[in-house]
Amino acid sequence: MNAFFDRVFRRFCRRGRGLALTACLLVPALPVPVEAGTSYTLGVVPQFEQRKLFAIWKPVVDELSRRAGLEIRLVVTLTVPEFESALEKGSFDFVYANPYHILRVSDSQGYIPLVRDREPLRGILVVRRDSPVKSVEELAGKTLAVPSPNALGASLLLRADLDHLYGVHMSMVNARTHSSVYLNVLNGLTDAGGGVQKTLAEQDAGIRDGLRILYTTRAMPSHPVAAHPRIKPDVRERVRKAVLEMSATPAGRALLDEIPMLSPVNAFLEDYLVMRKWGLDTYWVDDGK
Amino acid sequence: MGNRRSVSLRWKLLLPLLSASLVIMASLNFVWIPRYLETQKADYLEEVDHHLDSVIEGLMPLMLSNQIDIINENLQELKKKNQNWDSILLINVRGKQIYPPMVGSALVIADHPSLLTLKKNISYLGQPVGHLTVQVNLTHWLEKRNEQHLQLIFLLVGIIVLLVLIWTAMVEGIVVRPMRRLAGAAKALARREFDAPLPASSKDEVGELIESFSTMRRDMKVYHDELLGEIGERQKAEQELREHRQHLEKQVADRTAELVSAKESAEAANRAKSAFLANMSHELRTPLNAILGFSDILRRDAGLSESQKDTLATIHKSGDHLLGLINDVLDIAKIEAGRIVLESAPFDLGGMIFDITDMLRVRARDKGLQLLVDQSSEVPRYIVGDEAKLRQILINLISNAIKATEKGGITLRMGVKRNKIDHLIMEVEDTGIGIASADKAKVFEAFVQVGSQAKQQGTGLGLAITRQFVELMGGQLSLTSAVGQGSTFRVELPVQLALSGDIPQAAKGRGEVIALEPGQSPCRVLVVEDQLENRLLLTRLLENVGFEIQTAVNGVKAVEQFTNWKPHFIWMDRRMPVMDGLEATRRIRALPGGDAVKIAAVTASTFNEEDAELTASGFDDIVHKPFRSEQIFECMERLLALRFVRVEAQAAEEVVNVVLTEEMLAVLPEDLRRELRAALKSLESERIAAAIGQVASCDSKLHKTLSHLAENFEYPAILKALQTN
Repeated sequence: MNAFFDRVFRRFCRRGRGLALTACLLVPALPVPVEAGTSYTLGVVPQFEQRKLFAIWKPVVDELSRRAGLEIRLVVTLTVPEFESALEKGSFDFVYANPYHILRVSDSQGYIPLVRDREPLRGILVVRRDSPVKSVEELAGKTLAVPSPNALGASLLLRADLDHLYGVHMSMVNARTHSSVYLNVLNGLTDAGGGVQKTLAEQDAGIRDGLRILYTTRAMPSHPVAAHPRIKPDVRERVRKAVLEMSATPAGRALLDEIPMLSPVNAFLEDYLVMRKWGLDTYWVDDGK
Repeated sequence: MGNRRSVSLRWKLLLPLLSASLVIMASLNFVWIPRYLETQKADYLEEVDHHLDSVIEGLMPLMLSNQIDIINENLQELKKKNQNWDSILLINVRGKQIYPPMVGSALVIADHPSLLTLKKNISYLGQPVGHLTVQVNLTHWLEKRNEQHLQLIFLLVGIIVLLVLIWTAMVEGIVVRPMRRLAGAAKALARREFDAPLPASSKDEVGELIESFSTMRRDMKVYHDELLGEIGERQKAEQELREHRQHLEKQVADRTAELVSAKESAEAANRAKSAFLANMSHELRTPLNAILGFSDILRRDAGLSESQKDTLATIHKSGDHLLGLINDVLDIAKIEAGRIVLESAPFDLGGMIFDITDMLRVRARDKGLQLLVDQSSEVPRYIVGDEAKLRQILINLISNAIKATEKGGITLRMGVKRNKIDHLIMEVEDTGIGIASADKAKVFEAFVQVGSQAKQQGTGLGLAITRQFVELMGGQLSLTSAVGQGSTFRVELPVQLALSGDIPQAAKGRGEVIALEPGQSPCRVLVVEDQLENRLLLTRLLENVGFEIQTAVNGVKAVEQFTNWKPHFIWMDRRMPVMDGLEATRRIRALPGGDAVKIAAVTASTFNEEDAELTASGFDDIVHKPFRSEQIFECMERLLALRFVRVEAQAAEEVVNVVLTEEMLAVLPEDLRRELRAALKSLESERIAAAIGQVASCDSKLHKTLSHLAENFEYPAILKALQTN
């Protein structure tokens, strides 16, 4: 019986909690700034469930390392708040994060955007396809699943729009990831969910078809890959170049599609400055809880 | 048989193994496996349960933090890894489905025998969070288990088959095969084959058996060899014995051959004697036939004087007596030659006794003797036997008694001795001179006359013939006698009864033939006879009656006469020169018309077998010499269907009682009695006839009696009756 439990335990570790543990173990190593020329970290916002995140990003990072001729390590936090705090501390050499994050830490850390997807980002409000809700107003006081309270398209911008345009307040449920949001809505655990077009497009057809988009926010520049200012400009350039070169090859392109970053273009901080005027701060949740 | 036994033994030894295997297999399949399956199922479900507990532990934080996508991933993975988990359903405390994603149709927990639904409640710090339902499909699991069990059963069956094969091989090698060879050796032993190979002896019970058998066989062989040796010796001894016996047999055969040749020569001598006697009798009887015949014919001549008639009667009587003597001699000769044949026919015994005593009483009277008949009521009237010989026996004994007795009487005692076979007892007792015991045996010898009897008449053959006849009939003749006391001859004969109906009606006494009845067609008769006297006798007899007669002297002449004259009837003598009667008859029968003519033999032979020979040669009938004229006429009457004119011989008919008593004569006047006595003493026939003629006027019956006695020259009987008065 002990053996059995042991086996079950080990199997379980491999699945969910194991990954979480691994991620936790990685985190304490992050605050140590990596010396240039030796090893660089790339932090990725946990938009998806960890396994999926690794499945998408590990090949990308490996390819990036090879092309840039740099040793780049993928760093993932278990939760978005953890990521945010790490970002604020400037723990990552390179980062893939939502533009608002970049903006919020631009004063303290000043991450420099390198590349972004040409396609803009749009937040969406989804309900079950067979939901009786026909208009946003009907959702007042209902539950809204979000990947993270501070997620740009899926939460901040959406909540701001609902508030400003429809005067609708919904009680927010943190579903931790975009996939979780969609599943929550699909199974009726929440009345509606906040997501972005790109993540919905990546869901399985079954899930996607089970949902209905009730509202779409205005467009905003997509998530950038940004570099910490401490990274030498030539290294930054090598990374930017590597991403752009990757998209020129079918194999590289296929890898980037998964992020999704269908057609990378050069990104600049100026692209994102417009968002400061949207008054999103009101909706920011500090501790992410 | 041996094969079948060995098969049966093999099965007997195999059966327990097979039965045990079957029981094990059955209990395995029907008891152990289902129970094991249940236990395994319980174990399996417990394992799944524990597994689910662990899963729930992992799900709890994810549920609390709404990480539905991780839950989804985890449970999807879990389901992928556990293929027999048909469906997993995770519901939160509000009853909302967390897993699986509600895509397409809603998940339905189906109910199926092979589907097992496990429902686990999830709670955190005592607060219900939701529940996890897993439906486990046991089909695959069951299939797998069944496959394992099947493999187990196959393995077991394989082991059993292997065991059976090994067991069979062992039984075959250790028991059956040695037993079969042992049985073969035992069978061979039964056929006395001692060297049939025995199976190799093993160190077990079978081996012991083989050893014992081998020892037994060795002992038996020794015993058998000894026995064979003994048998050989015995056979040798037997062979010697056989040779010895053959030698003895040869000796006996030689002796027998010698004896046979001696017997044959003796028989040849005897046959020669018999032939001589036959010839003699023929030679003697032929002239006698003429004497008797002619005297008979002459007697019918009315022109004869009384004196001549008396003389003729004397001649006839003497001839008759001579015929009796010759007959006696012939009888004894026939007996000695073994040519006597016993007749067997029913006859009237009572009548015969009456006739004999009636006849002999006269002779007894002549000698002044009394003849008494003492007959038991048991004596049967009709019996089966040889009448003629029995008659002769009685006549001989009584005549003999009359001869031997001078004074007193003779008694004939008849009785029956009842036994298994009834015996007829006949005793003839006389009051005569008796016979000395020394002579008793000689009395019955042929040609011997005893003692003082020498003076008596006769051939002395009477008693010898009598005894021979009695013995021939299967009886006994005994004699009790003392000199001066008289003798008693006793005859005991086995008797067979007959009924009166069996007795043929005796030919009625018919009158003398004097002529052929008129109106009948003339009848030609050929007389074939070599001797003149006999030829004349027959010719005269037949011519007197009215036949046409021709004669022939031998066979050749007879055949010629037959061809020329065509007679209706032929009297044929048997013995003739040139050609005898047999040959002549055969030739005539072969000629045209030869089968129509009637031929009768006239023979002097008295041997029965010669009669048979005559019949076979084609003769219609046989008449023996000397014949009576009536025999001749009767024969022709029968064969030719003729009718004769007869004259009734009344006198002969009426004289039934020829016994003359004193009382009968007492009625006569004294003169007549005196005259009669004188006439008788004078022996003058005419005078006697005249005297008897006078009696007729007094008593016609007495006249007839006296006439009869006188005609028969019984003068002494009459004189005796007269004398007493």
